[in-house]
Order: sequence, then structure tokens, then C-alpha cells
Amino acid sequence: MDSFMSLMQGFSVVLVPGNFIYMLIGILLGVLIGVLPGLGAANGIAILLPLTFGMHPTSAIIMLSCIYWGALFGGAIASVLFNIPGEPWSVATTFDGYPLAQKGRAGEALTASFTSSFFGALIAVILITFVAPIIASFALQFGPAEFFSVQLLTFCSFVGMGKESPFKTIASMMIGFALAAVGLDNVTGQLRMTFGFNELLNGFDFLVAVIGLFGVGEIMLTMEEGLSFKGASAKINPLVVLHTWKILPRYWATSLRGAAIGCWLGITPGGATPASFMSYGLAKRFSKNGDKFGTGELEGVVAPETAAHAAGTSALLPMLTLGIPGSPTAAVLLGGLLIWGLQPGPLLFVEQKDFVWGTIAAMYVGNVVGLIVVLTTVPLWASILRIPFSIIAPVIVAICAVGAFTVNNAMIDLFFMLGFGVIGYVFKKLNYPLAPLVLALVLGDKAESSFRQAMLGSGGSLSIFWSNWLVGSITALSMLMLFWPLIAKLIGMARGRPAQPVAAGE
Amino acid sequence: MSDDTESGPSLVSIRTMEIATAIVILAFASVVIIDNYELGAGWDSSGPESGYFPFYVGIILFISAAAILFGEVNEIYKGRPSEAGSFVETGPFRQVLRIFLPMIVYVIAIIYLGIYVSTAIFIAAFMVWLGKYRPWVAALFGIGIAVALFFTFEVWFLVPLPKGPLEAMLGY
Repeated sequence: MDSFMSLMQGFSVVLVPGNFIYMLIGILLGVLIGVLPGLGAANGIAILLPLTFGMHPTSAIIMLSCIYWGALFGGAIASVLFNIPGEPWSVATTFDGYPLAQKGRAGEALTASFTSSFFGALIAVILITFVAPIIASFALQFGPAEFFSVQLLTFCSFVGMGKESPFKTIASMMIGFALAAVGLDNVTGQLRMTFGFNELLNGFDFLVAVIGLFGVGEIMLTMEEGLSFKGASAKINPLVVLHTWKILPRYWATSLRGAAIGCWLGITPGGATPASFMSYGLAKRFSKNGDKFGTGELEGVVAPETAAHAAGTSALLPMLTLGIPGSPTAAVLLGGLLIWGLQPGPLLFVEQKDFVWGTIAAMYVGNVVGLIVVLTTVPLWASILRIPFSIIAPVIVAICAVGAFTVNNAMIDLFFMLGFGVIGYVFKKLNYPLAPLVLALVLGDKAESSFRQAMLGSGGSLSIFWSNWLVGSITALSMLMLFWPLIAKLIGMARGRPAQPVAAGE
Repeated sequence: MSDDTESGPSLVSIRTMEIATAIVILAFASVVIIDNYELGAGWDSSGPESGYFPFYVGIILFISAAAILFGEVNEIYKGRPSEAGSFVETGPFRQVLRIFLPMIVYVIAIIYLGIYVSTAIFIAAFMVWLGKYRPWVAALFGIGIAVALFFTFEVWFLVPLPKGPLEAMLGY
């Protein structure tokens, strides 16, 4: 099978000592990032991205994506031991993870969460291995109109599937697009919205925005709660691991369902966080022990972790094949690809086989290595969390400052970072979703150029977006997603009045 | 950590912040719309003009923010009290300022003192003021971390970061 052969070749790229070391470094950094609240995966990768410019792109993406896996594993550690989610997708893990730790069963909870993560990621990578080439070859038929419609679908899905107010989602997205447009216009060479400020010539860099929104903003929020970490003790002994592994197969249905939810929400952009909540909610509904969820049910840890890790991994599928990131962290990785001069999409699979299959192979190896690393190093991370926040907070701020500076070697970016920090703080508290903002900032220029090219092709008519069955169906789906909140509300209203006479034209 | 995290009275309500934020977004959207209109938001001989895309982005943004604002004002008009509660109370907000204001000073300091010296001072000051550590402990940590950063970035990764008079004296 063609995929299989390519995958084998990918393994040969990954299992080179140099890349293997990068993988280990990535995983260790990732777990650290996942463990520390206030330093998130998107943020961490954004900070480290400029440092990888000197590296070979394949090695760089292996390291950066392993940071992602590490963070997916690591977020659970703080959640279980300290009831503090290290990453947004670990929040659901605290529901049953922390009670388990309080009952002295931290080892079981951690083993369950790591193993579930491993399983979820494995399913997602297998999916990617076999589905990606299919989508890539399919995407070869894509013209600018098709690409724009897929991007449109991405953004409309946020509106349709998000739980925030659709107006806030749209507003957040539009702000991202507007900020993306600032600076030099690639096509006409004109300056847009710079108001004579030279500093705005390059526009706003999405890396600086991510560091500000997710880094500085998060620190400000954390300060509000005056965090002090007092957690359960953490030692995983091998007997506990084996014992838990024997129990886990009992929850095969939950795991599979979690993996499915994760893969679905990773591909259609949603990301790991919504996936973890949805999986937890569904598991609670369908489980025999549903009413015990929240008091320390192992299944309540299996469900969110499987989904989160599956989503995080499968978010890379649309990113690699279509250039559409399925999660904010994938958006940052996409930005990285663009900076390295790699064009995600069907051509990537044809022209850069080593890169693509090396990355995919790295997902397999990284997953296994990550599981082993994380099972053996839990006490280390737990002790790091005991470092008082008065030390950790300024260190994280310093790391953010370094990160923001290294993007463009520009001091102004640090001030932008602070500005984005305020936006992040306010938006998070008012429930304006940040992911659409980041995605719009990353994809804004690309979406605009697809739109322009499509319109040029049609001579200014919007009908090009309905011109063939492919574009038409994707556009129609986008519209459905966009208006879904309204549609759902109408359906709800229609259902909520059964006593009313069925006279409204039915 | 200083324990100013008792809630205290609410500083500003969520409803007020919603309205304020919506108004700020409306202002931003207006700027986007006007600037791009002046740039040219129609079609010329070579296709959509430069301001075309951002212009409509601005319009959609304006409409969305107006909808949010309308929603909130409508609630007030109908006399419904806000169930959303407080945006932030005085105590926690003071905590936020305790990191945000120093951050601003930190960034400005980087311009003049370079990032390593500023970081050392920032960490040490934080440890003393909020962590209540003794100054020599804080200084040790601050300088230690700054030195670690220096070796990581200047020496190992060879990534140049802003430096100030101290480094200039040491020959970097």
C-alpha cells in the first residue's frame, strides 16, 4: 500500500539520532509547557518557532509537533494532581481526575489519562496516515474558489458549533481579519491602515498575537485567582500502572467514542478543548456509572483525554492537506510551515514527501516515547509546580517577552504583546472566543488572496462559489454552519410549543 | 503570595464591560471602514481594489458589535437586572495590576537596560514584593535566571536579544 511505504520512509527520516533527540527535547519541553498553567502549547510553540529558523524544516516540525504532543500529555498532570488545568483541554480532566487523586488514586488517574491520550492520538495518526493522501489528491482539483470555500467553512463552523454568542464569534473573527490586513498589501503593494506609522508596515504578526492573547492574557487571569499550588503527592509505581492497564479495556466504548469525537472535532475546526468537554458530557450520559462522574470515576478521565489528544493530533490533517488548521496550536504550526516556505496542501505531499511522512512518522514515535517519558517523570513535574507563583509568573512573562522579540527583532512587538494581553484578558472574561481571532490572523491573507483570485476568475460575480458541485456543496455547508444558531433556535421554538395548533403553514 | 484575593466589592460589572467593549469595537470598525473606503473599496480594471476585503470585514464587524451592543441596551431598557455579575472585583483586579503595571515598566526597561538586566530586576522585584522573599534570595534567583537566559540565547541559540549598557561594558 502506497501510504504504508511512504510511512516506512518517514520512519527512516525520524529514527535518525539527530531528529530523535529533537523529538525528546520537544516532548520534554511540551510536557513542561503543558504542566505550567499560563504557558500554553500555542504560546510555547509560538515562542520557540523563531528559534527553529536555523534548523532543517523537517527537524523543526518534528520538535515543534512533539512539543504539542508533550503538552497534550502534560496538561493532565496539573489537572489531576493540583486541580489546575495546565491546558484548556485538560479542564474536563480535573472533574474526575482530581477527586481520584484526593482519594489517593492519583497514579491510576494519571496512568489512565496518559494511556487514553496515547490511544486517542494513535487512532488519529492512523486516520491521518490513510486519509491524508486521499484528501491531498482530492485537493489537487481545488482552485481558488474551492480553497476559499473551505476556509469559509472553517470560519462558519466556529459560528455554528461554538457555544459562544455567534455575534461575538463573528466579531472576534473580523477583528482578526482586520488586523491581518494591516500593513503592506501583497497584491497591490499599497499600505493599508498604517496611518503613517512605520512600525505597522509589517502588520501584526500572529505569533506576537498568540503570545499576548494566550500568554500574557492567561497570566493576568491567573493572577486574579492568586494561585498557590498545593497538590496531591505524585508517584507512579509500575504496579499501579499495570493494574490500571488491566482495568482500562473495560472502557473500550468510551475510548472509541472519545477518539471519534476527537477526530471529528480536530478535523472540522473545534480543537482539543471542545472535544474533551463533548466526550466527557456524552460519556456521562451513556455510562452505567454516569451519576458517579465528578466523584472520581476512572471513565471520567478516559473520556476527555482520549478525545483531546485525538483532536489535537487530527487537527494536523486539514492543516497538512488543505492548509486549514483545526486548532489554534495547529494554526501556529501552519504559520511555521508558511514561514519555512512550505506550502501546505496537495503539493506538499508530492514535492516534500520526506517532510510530510517524516512528520507523520514522528507522530507515531513521539506518541510512544511521550507515553513512556510522561509515565516515568511525573514526580519531576509535580515538584516544578510547587515552585511559588511569585517566581514562575515573572519567568513566564520574561519568556513571553523573549518570544515576542525574536519574531521580528522589533521592540514594538513587545508593546503589541501587552496590548494583545489586555484584549485576551477582557475577551476571555466576556466570552469572546479567541481561536477565531488567531485563525483569522493566520489565514487572513491567504483567505483574502483566494477570494480575490476567485473573484478575478469570475469577473466580479459571487456565483463562482456555486459554479460546480464541489464548491457549491462546501459553500452550502458553510452557510448552514453560519446560520445554524438561528436554525437551531427556530427548531427549538417549534418543538417547545407542542400544544400550539399546527397551523403555521405545515 | 500576598492574599488580596478576597473578592471585595465589584469594580465594574460584566454588563458595563460588555457595553464598553462593544463601543470600542464599533470605534475600531469605523476606523477600518473609513480608512479602507478612502483606499478604495470597489473594483478597478485589475479586480478588487486594495481596500475591498478589509472594508467589508469592517462592515461585518460593525454590524456584529452593534448587535451585541443592542442586545445589552435592550436588556437595560426592559429593566432586566444583569445576572452576569461582576467583571472583576477590586481585590483580584489589584492582583492583575500587580503584574500588568510592572510588565509595562519591564518592557520599557528593556529598551534602555537590555532584556537580561531588566529580567533580573523584574524577577527579583516580583519575588520581594509579592513573594515576600528576602532581597538577597530574590537577587540570586533574578540574576541566576537572567544569566541562564543569556547563555541559552546569546551563546547557545545565537539569537541576539536587546542588550543594554551592562553588556556593552562586558564586550557584547
